[in-house]
Amino acid sequence: MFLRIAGFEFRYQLRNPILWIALTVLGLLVFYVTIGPNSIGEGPGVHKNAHFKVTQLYLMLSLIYMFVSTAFVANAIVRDDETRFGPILRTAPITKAQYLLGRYAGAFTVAALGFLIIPAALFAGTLMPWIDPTRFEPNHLSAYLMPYLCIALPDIFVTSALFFSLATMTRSMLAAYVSVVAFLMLWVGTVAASLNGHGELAAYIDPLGRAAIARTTRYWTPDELNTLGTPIYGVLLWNRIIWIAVGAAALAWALSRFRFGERMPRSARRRAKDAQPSEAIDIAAIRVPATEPRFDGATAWAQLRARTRLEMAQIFRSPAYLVLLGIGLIFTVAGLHDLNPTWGTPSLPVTRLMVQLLNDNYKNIPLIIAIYYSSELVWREQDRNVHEIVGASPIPDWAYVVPKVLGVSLVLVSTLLVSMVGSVGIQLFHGYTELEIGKYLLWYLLPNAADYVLIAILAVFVQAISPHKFVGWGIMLLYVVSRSQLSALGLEDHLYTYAQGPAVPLSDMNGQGQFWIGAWSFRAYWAAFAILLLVLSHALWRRGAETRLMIRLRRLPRRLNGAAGGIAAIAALAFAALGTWCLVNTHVWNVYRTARGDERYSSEYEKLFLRYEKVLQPSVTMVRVKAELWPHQRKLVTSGTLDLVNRQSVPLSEIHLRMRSAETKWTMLAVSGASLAKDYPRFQYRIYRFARPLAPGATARIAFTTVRQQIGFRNANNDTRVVDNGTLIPNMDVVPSIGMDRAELLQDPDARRRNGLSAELHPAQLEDLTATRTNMFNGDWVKTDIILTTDADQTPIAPGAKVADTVQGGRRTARFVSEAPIQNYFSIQSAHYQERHVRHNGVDLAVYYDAQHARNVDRMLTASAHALDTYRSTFGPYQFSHIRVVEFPVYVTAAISFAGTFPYSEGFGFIAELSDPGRIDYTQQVVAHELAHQYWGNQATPAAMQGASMLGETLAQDSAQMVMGKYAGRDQARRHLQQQLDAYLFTRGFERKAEVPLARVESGDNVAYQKGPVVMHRLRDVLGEERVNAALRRYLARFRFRPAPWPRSLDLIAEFRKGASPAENQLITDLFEKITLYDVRTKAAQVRKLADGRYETTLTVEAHKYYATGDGKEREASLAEPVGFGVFASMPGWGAFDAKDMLGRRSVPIHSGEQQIRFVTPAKPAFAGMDPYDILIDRHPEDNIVPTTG
Amino acid sequence: MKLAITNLSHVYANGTRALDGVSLSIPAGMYGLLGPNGAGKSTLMRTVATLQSPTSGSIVFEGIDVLKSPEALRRLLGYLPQEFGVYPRISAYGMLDHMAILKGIAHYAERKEVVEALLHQVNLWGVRKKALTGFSGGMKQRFGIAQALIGNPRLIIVDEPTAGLDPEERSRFLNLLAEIGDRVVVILSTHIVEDVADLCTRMAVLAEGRIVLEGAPQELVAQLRGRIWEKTIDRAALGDHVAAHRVISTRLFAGRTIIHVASDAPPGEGFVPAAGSLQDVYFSTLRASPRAAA
Repeated sequence: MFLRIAGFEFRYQLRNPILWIALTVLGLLVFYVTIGPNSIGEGPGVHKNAHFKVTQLYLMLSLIYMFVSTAFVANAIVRDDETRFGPILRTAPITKAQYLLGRYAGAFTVAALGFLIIPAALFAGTLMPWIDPTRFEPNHLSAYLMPYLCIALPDIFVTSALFFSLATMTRSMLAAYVSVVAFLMLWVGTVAASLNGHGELAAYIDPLGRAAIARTTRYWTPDELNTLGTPIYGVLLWNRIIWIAVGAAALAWALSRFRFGERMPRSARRRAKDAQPSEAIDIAAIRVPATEPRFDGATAWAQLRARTRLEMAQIFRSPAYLVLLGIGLIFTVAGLHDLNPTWGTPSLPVTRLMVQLLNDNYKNIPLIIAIYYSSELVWREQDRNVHEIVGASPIPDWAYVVPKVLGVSLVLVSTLLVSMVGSVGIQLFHGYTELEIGKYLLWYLLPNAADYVLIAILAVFVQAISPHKFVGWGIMLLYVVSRSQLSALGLEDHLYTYAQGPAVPLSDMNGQGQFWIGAWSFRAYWAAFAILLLVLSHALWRRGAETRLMIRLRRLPRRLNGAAGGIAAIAALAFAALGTWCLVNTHVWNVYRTARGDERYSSEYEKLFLRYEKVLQPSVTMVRVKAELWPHQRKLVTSGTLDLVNRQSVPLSEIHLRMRSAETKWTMLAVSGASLAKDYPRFQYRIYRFARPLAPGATARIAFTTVRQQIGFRNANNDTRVVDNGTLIPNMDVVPSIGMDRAELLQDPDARRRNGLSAELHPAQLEDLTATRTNMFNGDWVKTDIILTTDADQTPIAPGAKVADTVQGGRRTARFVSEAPIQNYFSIQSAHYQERHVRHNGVDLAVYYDAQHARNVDRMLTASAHALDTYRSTFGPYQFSHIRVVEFPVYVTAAISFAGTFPYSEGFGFIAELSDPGRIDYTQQVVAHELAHQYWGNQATPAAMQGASMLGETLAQDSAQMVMGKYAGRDQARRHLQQQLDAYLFTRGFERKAEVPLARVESGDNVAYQKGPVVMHRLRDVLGEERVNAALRRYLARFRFRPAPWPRSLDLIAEFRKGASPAENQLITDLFEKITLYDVRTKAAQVRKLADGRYETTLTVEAHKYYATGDGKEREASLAEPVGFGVFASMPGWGAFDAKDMLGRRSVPIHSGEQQIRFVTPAKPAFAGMDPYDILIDRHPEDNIVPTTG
Repeated sequence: MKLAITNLSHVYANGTRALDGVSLSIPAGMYGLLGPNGAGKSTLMRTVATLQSPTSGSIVFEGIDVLKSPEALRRLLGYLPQEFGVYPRISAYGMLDHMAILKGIAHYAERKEVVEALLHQVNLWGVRKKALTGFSGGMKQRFGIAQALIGNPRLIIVDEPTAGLDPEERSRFLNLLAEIGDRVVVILSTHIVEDVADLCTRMAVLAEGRIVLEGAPQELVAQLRGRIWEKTIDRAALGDHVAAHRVISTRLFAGRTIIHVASDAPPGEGFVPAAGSLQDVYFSTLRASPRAAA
């Protein structure tokens, strides 16, 4: 009987059209993704038919599939109540278990088999002849099957069992769906959020197994991701067992609670008792007053209010809405609670950050509400079968349509308000009491409400003309998908992308700047269009029983007669006028650009000019700049001269000048003794030819004027450099550059391929000595004289000693002159600043900050002092009389090191929440890093080639690490290093480019920033601090302020090698010139009490060393190196661990394979392990320390 | 005061001809529209109630061209559809109050008076605060009647109004209608002949989308006088009688079958003259309509 019920259910569900529609859509989606350039889930570069990638595909799609499988399993149980067939069935001679489990089994089988459409479509995609073969490997059955068996099938089982049980208990399809949504959002909010920390707990509690996979594969290399099978062991295996058991338990629970008896329908339970009095009342005695209806303005107003009230009550009082709001609140909290941490240190919950996080995390709920409730409102009368009564009443159509739009708008506003309340709650929870409700309203509530209402109006219109609710949903889904896909087709113009406009980047310093003007202009433009849609919705309204669109279309002209037509005409006029205004702004006053267009521009640039890269150029020796900034007009006029000298050994006949920023126009350009030979005005690239070639040592001069000004607003990419309050612009954007280089060329391999370029753009190879003629700034040592004028209420800042500062006629002018040679690399800044200065050992330490961000200013000053003292004593003199940290808006989250001047984004550091002393004080770390660049970069400037970032970023990280160890304590420095190691190991699997050894690092990526300091730490550990510092000093002395040839990474490595033993030399090779990884593990630690009362700990350890190729293929190397061991009274790095808990530590030479190490300590150790402080680049740092036994 | 329907036809998208050249002239008073299920009654009612556009034809009420200005008609209209639902989570009072606003009674005090009186009148006063979704069929129907009476309508269309009412409620309702009926046009669409017989001054029979009979019930019954014959037979004999006579109706009584036969002359043995009723008029008309006989 069980099988017969299951079989019936199976066949029944196969006839369900939802099944076939869903499978078709899923199949097409997978096929489309397979043959296209994108992929689903983690690991964009991994082969699309490899185990890992198939697993990701299944994982992501099983989220969507939950809705499909729930539709089957919940329907299997709920339909008997809905069709009222239940009583017939339940009185048949079947048992509860046969009935319930049979139904479940049948529906589950359909869902499980249906999922196979995904591998089938993937497989079909791999057979297409035009696919990019580098994205695939030969098809293996196991790569399709194993993830299906280990991931997809258990996931379908768990979720369907859970929702089947819920549906069984509630007998409600809606309840099942609401719980799917709730489950999904909770999952996204908790599990997905915890993925970033790859937490161990999440690996067990994630019912779908995604966190377990992320945890297991977190350090996998590209090669491993491509070749290793599904990791069905360890945490993933446990996860699967736990959740299959939970699924089974849910079924058992449903079975035990399920009663065959008829459950009273809800309506019956609450049925009103008819209050019929026993004796009939005399009807004739009741006079219904003959009130004549009136149809005037007051009535219309009353009708509008009554309808609005009704629509709102219908939504606000519905349980589904309350659930949705609750989910929204949970979602807000989940998305916002960790406050955008940097290295584990959260930010202060400033309103700007909260709004950004809300915008990132709280997009889908209002969108769903806008689309869902619009359709509910439009179809409500039909759905509730009230359409005839209401339709026949003398209420005008507009009083019918407008309240619906008002209703959905107020619902949207209320959802946004709830998220806002959640956000304020989080602020208060963190003790942050500067509640800026005004900012919430202007930055969050109003713009979002307007945008979502526009979408709701579109949805109302679509539903008004759709023959069925589902058709309307389908159209809206297409619209939502198209919003994200249009830019891939190069269609980005907001003149035709409904309800969209230019982004409004937020800043504490600059507020909404002038960005809001463009955004609201487009909003007004689309609002006018939306009014047209509304009038059309009104005129085409499906009133009463009339559902045919053709009939309604025929009525349209007549119904547009009168007020409706008048409103439509006004809206159309407004639409045209606002459209013209937007068009003029985005296409006439500004250049309309698209992402694809910019790619094309860059590729053409590369094709035209990269060949000039090696053309020898004169060097700049003196820069004189006069910059006039009008912040409120967003205008910067820069004029000046560049003195040139020919430092080459041959005469130079040409000079190549370019303006890198397309937004800045040069209005005057002249080179003494040279004339314009070739001009590429579109690219602002000019070649001047000297009348007489410039002899070695001869000089020349460039005179220039450039103008950068944004008038009105753009479709996108509004200028964030020259702004109202917080201008930061580097010299390359306003001063002509000399000679071609590789900065700013296209990097993304897909974009390069699309535009007919080689897939990868590499810097010069380490062996290419001609590359040492150019440094990473493509410049030379110069002196600067910068005069910057801005509005009097702002502070002008540029590198150099300030020699004059005057205010005249509402304008403030300051002059900055360089005290030491600097690279031709500087910035201009201006904003309304507070200043704090400290005189420290002859140097003026200063922070220029916004009044709202005084909190960490003293920390920055302290960091400057600490770093200055450390570097002076370790590396040598500091070249300037000042250290300026200058805040700038969060349009970029970074700190940059210009000569003695560090622009530091308001987005981190300034708002770091450091009240807990256990947190990493990255605010100080960043200052120390930037100050270190005054040595590593601004004294010794690396050549523009492989390894440049090692000489810049790695050394700056290492120096900052040194300061942190000295002042914040070894423990914090060590924890920060562990974070760096974790980040390096985690990201290396997902890099698009092949990994290179540190000496060949090609950009400022995870190798330079994160692996670099770990490598330097090991080097310092083995060679000793003093030897490493001496090598750094020698390197610095050799290249300090010296002209070309510029240093290579090998020059520094050579210094490290001086006086090194063969073993040390090998280590240096492993660290810098190879990709070396270790796998060390403590298997056991046995403690024995000795006769003298002391304790002997015997550690059994296993160690291996590997060399890896660029894509992560590993080969074992013989290991013979000293490695640190330690025994501890408590777990190091945890809770109350204290330095005195370290009972013994020593370095022991070890070899590949298993071995035993002995320690004798006076106290009994509780923990022991190998490489306890993660000095090695160990792929499994979590198994280094174990609790002792015995 | 008169509702004139001229040559009204309606063809649904699937080709069903629901109305076929219907012309009616309906004066003030109760007007019964009889017809079997599927005859097109509800289509006609909905069309007059401005909820549906006919394929062709015209409807004029008190000088209002209903198809051109449905808004104007709605101001004079009270409509009780055959089937209707209610909004969830709203009380009888709340919904009736809401309908009163929609019907143009915006003034609070006036509305209160109207709504309260109507609730008393349809005997829902005691449950006025209860949610409509919990109402039984009869209670809901009474609510429907109440809303149709709001605002002094000149044209009242009630579609199968007594369905689901118990006999007592039905009589209350019919009394209520009768009271209003002489002042305004009331169209009562039903397949229950007694409703029409009890109430209406004029009536029409609609079958297969056509008007097959129109007139005053008494006159129609009078026309049948002496033409209706009754006979009580065994059930087994029914087939023979149907073959031999124009049987217009059959009903069971105490296990035997009573048949009515229309005939100008006495149809034969065992038949006794029956007092013609509207029921006989209705059924004889239906049997006479060739298409409806199938």
